[in-house]
Amino acid sequence: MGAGAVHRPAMRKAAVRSISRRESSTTTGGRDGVVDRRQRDEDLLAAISQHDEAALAALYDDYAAALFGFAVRRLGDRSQAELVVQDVFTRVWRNARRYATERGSVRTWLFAVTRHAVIDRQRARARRPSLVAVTEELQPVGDDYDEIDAMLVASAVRAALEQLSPAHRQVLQLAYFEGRSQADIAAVLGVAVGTVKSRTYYALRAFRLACEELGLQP
Amino acid sequence: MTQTCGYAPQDLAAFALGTLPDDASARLRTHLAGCEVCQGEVDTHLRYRQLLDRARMPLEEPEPAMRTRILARVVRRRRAPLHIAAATAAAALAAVAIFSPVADRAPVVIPVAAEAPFEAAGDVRFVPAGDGFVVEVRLTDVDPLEEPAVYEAWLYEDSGRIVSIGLATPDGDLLDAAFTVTRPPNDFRAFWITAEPDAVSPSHDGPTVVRTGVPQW
Repeated sequence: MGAGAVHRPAMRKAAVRSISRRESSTTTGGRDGVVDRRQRDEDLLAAISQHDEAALAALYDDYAAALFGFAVRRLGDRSQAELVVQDVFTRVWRNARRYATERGSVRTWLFAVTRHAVIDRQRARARRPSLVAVTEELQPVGDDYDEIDAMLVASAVRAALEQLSPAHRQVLQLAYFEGRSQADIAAVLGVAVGTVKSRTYYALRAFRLACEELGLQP
Repeated sequence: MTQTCGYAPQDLAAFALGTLPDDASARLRTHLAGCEVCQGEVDTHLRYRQLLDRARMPLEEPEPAMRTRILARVVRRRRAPLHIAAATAAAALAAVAIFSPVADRAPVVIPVAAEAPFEAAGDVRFVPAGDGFVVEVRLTDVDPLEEPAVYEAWLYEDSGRIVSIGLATPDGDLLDAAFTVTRPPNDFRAFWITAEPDAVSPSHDGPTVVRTGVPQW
């Protein structure tokens, strides 16, 4: 029996179309901030299919925060969200071998599995799960993916900031997130204005490098 | 960051971040009007500045211990698929033994064969549990399905409503899953399993794999 038995071409094409549109827009940098690490994802998945636990941990580090954030937002419950993340990575661990590149990116696969796991939890939680009720709760797939995507960028930016030295992180915090002037920052840190200038510059430069390493494009 | 026209790169960065004093900003603006190199550099800084903004998005962070927990569970679980469903069923059965008034009703085992083009065969056990029941499905020769397709279990209510009771993924060609239902079997007429082609699609109109009636004990 072929797996083709369950492929309704029209439906699949529609889903694939909406997914590929999204990905082409991310790779061309149409929005402010994209995470593009297709090759890294595929390499990790190939390793995971060989039961490489370090690769699983790496994929977890890349995606767990965004997937968790999405699940918490949908379920309003951190422990339920943890189960969602667990479901997702269990599935990745067990099914990595069956993932095929031509079916879409690893990221889209992760998003799909996450979204499904969230729906599954919502259903399980409902006392009387009904198809009607569940369908009403669903958002369009594209909206959910955009939301997870935004969280992926947010978590990647945070990860990039975490890679900076404390001094660099602090100066960006003061300059950008708190909007303080150079003189003000100099006073807060007890250093010369010239030091603030160069430290801000090097902090931004370090941030850019960290972003590049994480596949994060502005 | 690589090219420079001699203008202090620190000022370009400070300008993009908005920390350059007003007089210096005014001077730089005049310079930028005639210097493509610096303007390009400032533009790049500005794009990264926008990226910084994305970090402001409210996002629930997972606690660090979650990583250890999940990775340990996931790796350990690889030979125990569907353990959650199985554990639920086991718990339900354990509960039955203690207090259920319907526990003395024997489980009903119904042999099933898949509808074409599927080839799976096996049995569906309906086990009374508390006020409800557990549906245990064991099928062999199951199409493993390609991600993101999954099997979905349904009950057809007396009222005509269709209720999804869970999802299952086969382990190889074996589908071994249990679905706990907390309502009495008399509420339902039929049980069936579909192959949902796409986990991302909410349409739930996948073809039927097996179907059977629900015993009324």
